Amino acid sequence: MSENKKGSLSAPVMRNRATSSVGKIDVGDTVPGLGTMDESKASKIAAEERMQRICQGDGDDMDLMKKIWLSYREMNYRHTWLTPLVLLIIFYSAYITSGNRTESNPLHQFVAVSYQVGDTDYYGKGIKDLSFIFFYMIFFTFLREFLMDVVIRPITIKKLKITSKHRINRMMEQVYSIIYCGVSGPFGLYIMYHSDLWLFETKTMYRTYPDLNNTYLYKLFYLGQAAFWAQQACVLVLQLEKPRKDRRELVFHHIVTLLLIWSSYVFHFTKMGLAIYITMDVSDFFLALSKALNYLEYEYTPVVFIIFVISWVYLRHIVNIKILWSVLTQFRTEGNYVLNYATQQYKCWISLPIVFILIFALQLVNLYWLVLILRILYRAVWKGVQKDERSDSSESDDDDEPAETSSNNDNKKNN
Amino acid sequence: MSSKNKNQVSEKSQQQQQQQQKKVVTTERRVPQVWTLLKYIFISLCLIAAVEYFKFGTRINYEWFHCTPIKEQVGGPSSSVIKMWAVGGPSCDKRGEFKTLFKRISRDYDPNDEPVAYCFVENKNIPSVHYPIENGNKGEPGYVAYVGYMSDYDLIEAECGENQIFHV
Repeated sequence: MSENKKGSLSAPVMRNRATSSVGKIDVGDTVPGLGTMDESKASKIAAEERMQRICQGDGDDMDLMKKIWLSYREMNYRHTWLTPLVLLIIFYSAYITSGNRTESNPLHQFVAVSYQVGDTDYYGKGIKDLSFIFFYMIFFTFLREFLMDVVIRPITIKKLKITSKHRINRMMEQVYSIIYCGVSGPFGLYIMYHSDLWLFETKTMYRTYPDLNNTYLYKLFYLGQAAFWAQQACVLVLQLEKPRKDRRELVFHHIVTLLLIWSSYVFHFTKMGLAIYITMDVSDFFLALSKALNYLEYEYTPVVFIIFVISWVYLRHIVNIKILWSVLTQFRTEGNYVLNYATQQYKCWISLPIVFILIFALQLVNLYWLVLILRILYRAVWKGVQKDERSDSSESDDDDEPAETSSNNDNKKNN
Repeated sequence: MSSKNKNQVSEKSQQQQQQQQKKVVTTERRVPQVWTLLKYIFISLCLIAAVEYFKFGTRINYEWFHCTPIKEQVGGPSSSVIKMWAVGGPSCDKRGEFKTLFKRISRDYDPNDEPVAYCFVENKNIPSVHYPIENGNKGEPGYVAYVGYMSDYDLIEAECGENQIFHV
């Protein structure tokens, strides 16, 4: 505690660099999961009421039915992955038991990639892709909540011995990000390596335009990413999480990202989209790794943080600006550059400014975060002082609140 | 405790109360915005549908955007006969030219007023997709149409030569 000039007592916001922490690294485009969000007062009261109603009643059949329903709701409240799992089981079992695993089955569009071109490895595009994205939004909701609740939380509490509820939640989110980006980043790089785009080659983005068809893995990756970002956007729109200081930037980033994903897909700029996806995923991997190690106060956190800064600058700025530059210089000269609705050839004078503005908007948000990252780096290196300028205003309120360790899911109950 | 310190303590407690109230308000507001989500999903689906409809519409009616009909009167001011052709970029192919010319014939001439006669003269020396991108020197059109009312049939017959003349 220190006394300020006015004489009032206040906790210091800065701490000396006694640990290996580089300070709070609350930057980036990650949206919290459903299971790690704080409860509202209303939801806590509702949960208590459900438990009371389950324990009451006269015991007739109707009452039992109500109790089953209430029990399910309570279970779903505690384990947010339950309803997505039920939906996945219903869809998958109906699809598998139907015996028809071709595109003539209406369920095929939800669980598998549609529009195969003959017997080739190429797939076209169409309205059924929306069904696929919708279904895999549910899948990603399940995956995230399940991994966090069943796998990451017990490890965090039992193996890593973290007791603060806030830190457990943040660790769960970051470890999930590590897992997701650790898969999607290399997956994207694998696709890029087996295409003519390696390594962030820009000329070939335009030469084969319009890319009306994509290979199976390419389309799977593209739509999977679309589902991931759309799912995150839905969580963001639901406004369940504490508002961060950079909420506006986060929302803007998601709007731009979704616009880029959708427009690049429907107007056949998917080769540009792959490069953008990779730049985001790989840098997010190092970001999540830095955050997770920072929560653990790991000895080499500063080293990992510097690797993250390098990857961020290279991927989100150098590569991104390289793509932007290619829009100005190669967009016209490489491949067709004429508007032809009949052949879906949209690479022309109309799309050029639109593509440029969207990628430029993404670059602006990345620059905003880069400033915050460099500030963290500056303070960590030169001042040994760590205070994140962007973190939510009330974060410290529950920062050190102990978590319930007896059950892997009861921390909500015990808020 | 001095009065100054008392004031400071009371100020601090007031601030804490205000912060707590603010926190309760923000906590209470964090209920799932399901209607907002549905609204955004609806808007997004409308946007997707609009773009898909635009793509479909422009593929079906692409000549609206890419073929421009050019008219030239034949036989003096009192004549109803017109020579027409369509110009555009590469997307204005022979199919688009034909569609554009016939659309103009069917819209600009009304058989209820007087029977109409027309013919198409095809330039067989050029391929289906023939217009270059450059402005100015676009080359010859794929089709030239002559159209007029039956009162000017002699003139139409002379312009069409050996080509088939249709009547509507």
